[in-house]
Amino acid sequence: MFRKIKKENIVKIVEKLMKDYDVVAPVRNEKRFVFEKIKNPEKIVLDYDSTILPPKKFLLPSPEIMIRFDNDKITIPENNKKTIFFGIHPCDMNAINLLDKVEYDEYKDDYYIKKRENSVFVCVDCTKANEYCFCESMGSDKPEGYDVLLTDIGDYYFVETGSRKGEELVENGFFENVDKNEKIERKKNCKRKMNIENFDKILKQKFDDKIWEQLGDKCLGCGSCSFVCPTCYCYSVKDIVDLSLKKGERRRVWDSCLLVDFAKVAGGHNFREKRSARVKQRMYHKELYFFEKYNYSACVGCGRCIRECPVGIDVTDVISKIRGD
Amino acid sequence: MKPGVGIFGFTGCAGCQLEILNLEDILLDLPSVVDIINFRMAKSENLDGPLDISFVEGSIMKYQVGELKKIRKNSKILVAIGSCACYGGVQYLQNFIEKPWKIVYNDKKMKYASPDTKSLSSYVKVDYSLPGCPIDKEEFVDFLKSVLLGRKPKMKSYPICVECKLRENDCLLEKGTICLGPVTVAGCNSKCPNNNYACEGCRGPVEEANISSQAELMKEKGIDPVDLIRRFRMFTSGAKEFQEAKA
Repeated sequence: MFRKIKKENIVKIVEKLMKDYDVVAPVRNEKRFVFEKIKNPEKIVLDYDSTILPPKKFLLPSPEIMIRFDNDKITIPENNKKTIFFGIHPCDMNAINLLDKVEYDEYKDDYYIKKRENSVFVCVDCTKANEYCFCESMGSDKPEGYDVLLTDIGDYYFVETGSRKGEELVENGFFENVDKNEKIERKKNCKRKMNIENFDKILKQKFDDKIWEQLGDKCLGCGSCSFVCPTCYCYSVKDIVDLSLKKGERRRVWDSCLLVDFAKVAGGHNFREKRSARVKQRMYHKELYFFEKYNYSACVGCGRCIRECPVGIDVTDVISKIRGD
Repeated sequence: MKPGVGIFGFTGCAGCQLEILNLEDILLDLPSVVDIINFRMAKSENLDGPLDISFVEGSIMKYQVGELKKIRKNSKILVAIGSCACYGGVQYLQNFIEKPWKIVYNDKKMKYASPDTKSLSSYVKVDYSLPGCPIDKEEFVDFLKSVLLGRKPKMKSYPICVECKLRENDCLLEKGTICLGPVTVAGCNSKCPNNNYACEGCRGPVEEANISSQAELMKEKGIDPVDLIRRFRMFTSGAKEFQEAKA
C-alpha cells in the first residue's frame, strides 16, 4: 500500500502536528532559507535549496544549558518536548545519521540523545540543487534514516515511511491511500562534483603538500565553514554567573577548529599554531579521520561551507587539486 | 572585602563610561559587589585610590600622561576600555596626515598645539583591553565577574563572523557588501550585521587577523586602494595590523 498527500494539505497537517509537537521547518529569510520553530505553517517552504544553518541548530543548540546552579544546588534542565523536523533534505538527514555515530559512541551525549529520541524526521526529497552542493558525489542524495519521506510528484507529495513513528504520523485523513507506486525518481541535478575515490589514501600522502600553506594564507579564520557544517559538532563550555557569583548556568557553545585558540591548552601552548594546520585539520577530519573511524566521510556534500566561505575556499576544488585533476 | 574600582576618562567622547551607566538593570547592584572609589561621571566624591581595578577610557594627550601614570601607580589592574584607550581611536588618524590642523583651521594661528594623542599602552602597562566604540556593556560586566571570581578574564580571540553566523544572518560579504567582520574581534554580538549594516571594525583587529587576505577580498568587491586603507583604519588606526596594512 502506498500513500500520497495533496500539497495544499501540508499546512493542515502541520497545524494538526503543532498540537503535540514543536514543528521545525524551512522558512524564507530574506533571500535565503532557515530552519525555524514554526508558529505559522503558511510560512513553510518545501521547495527550498538549502538553509544557512543545518538542523543541528536544534539537536546541538548553541548555547545549550547543561546545568543550572544555585549555591550547592545543581539542576539539569528538563526538555521533553517532542519535535518534528518537517521538510529536511536527504543530505541533512544523512548528516544526522553521521552525528548519531559520534553522539551514541563511547562517550554518549545525553543532551543530544534525548532530543534525537524525541524527534521525528519528515524528509522531503530535494528538487533544487544550488550551485554549491554535491550530495550525489558523496552518496548522501539517497535518503536514509527518515521516519517519513515526501517526494514531489506534482500536485501531491508521494509518501513513504521508514519507521513505526512515521507510520503513526501518516495514519490520518490527510494522507490518501493509493494502489500503485507513483513515485517519480529524482534526476541527478548537482552541477558540482567531487571525486572521492581512494581519497583516504591520497590525503595521507598529501599531509605536507604546499596547498595547505596556500590555503592558510587565504583563510580568514572566521570558522564559518564549521558553524554551517551539518556534521561539525565541536563545542566549548563556559560558566555564566549572575552578580551574586553564586548562581548561574553552565553553557556549551559551538567551537571551531579554524579558530586560533581551539587547540590552545593551559600554559598557553597551541598545538595548531598555524592557520594552515587548522585549515588542514578540518579537511582531514571530514574526509580522512572520520572515515578511518566510522567508515564514512563526514561530508554530505551540502555545499554550505563553500557558499559561506568569504574567500571562496572550496572543498571540491581542494580535493581536485590534491588529486592533480 | 569588596574590590575598589575606579572609572576614568581621558580624550574621547565619554560614551564608554556612559555605557557603564546604561547598565540600568544591574546598576544599583554593582555597589554591593564593588566599591566605586572614583567615577567622576557618576558621583561627586572621588578618591585617587588605592584601586584594585581601574577602567580607563579615552586616548592620551601629552599633558595627560602624568595623570595616567598616577592612576597606573594606584591600581593593581588597569583595563583600557573603548577603542580610544586601546588603539588611540578615530583621533589617532591625524598621525597619518601631515599638519592635520591645516585641513580644519587653514593658516589661522593655533592657540593650542596639535593634540598628540595615543593609546594607553604607549605610556603605561595595560593589563586588559575591552575594545569597541563604545564598549559592549555586557562584556564589561563579564570581565568584572571574572575578576571578582578570581579567574583570569578570557579575552575573545575569534572574529565577529562567529557571532554573526550563529545568528544566521545572511552574510553581507556574500551579498557583495564590504564587511570587516572577518578581521574584527568579537564581543559586540555582531550588532551592526544583525541590523544589515556592515561591520566597520570599531573593535579593532582580532588575534591573527588575516589582513592581506581581507584586503584581497575587498579589492575583488571593487574597493579602491585609498578607500581600502581608510576602511581598515577608521576606528583603530593605532593598531599595528592596520598601520602596516597595504592596499
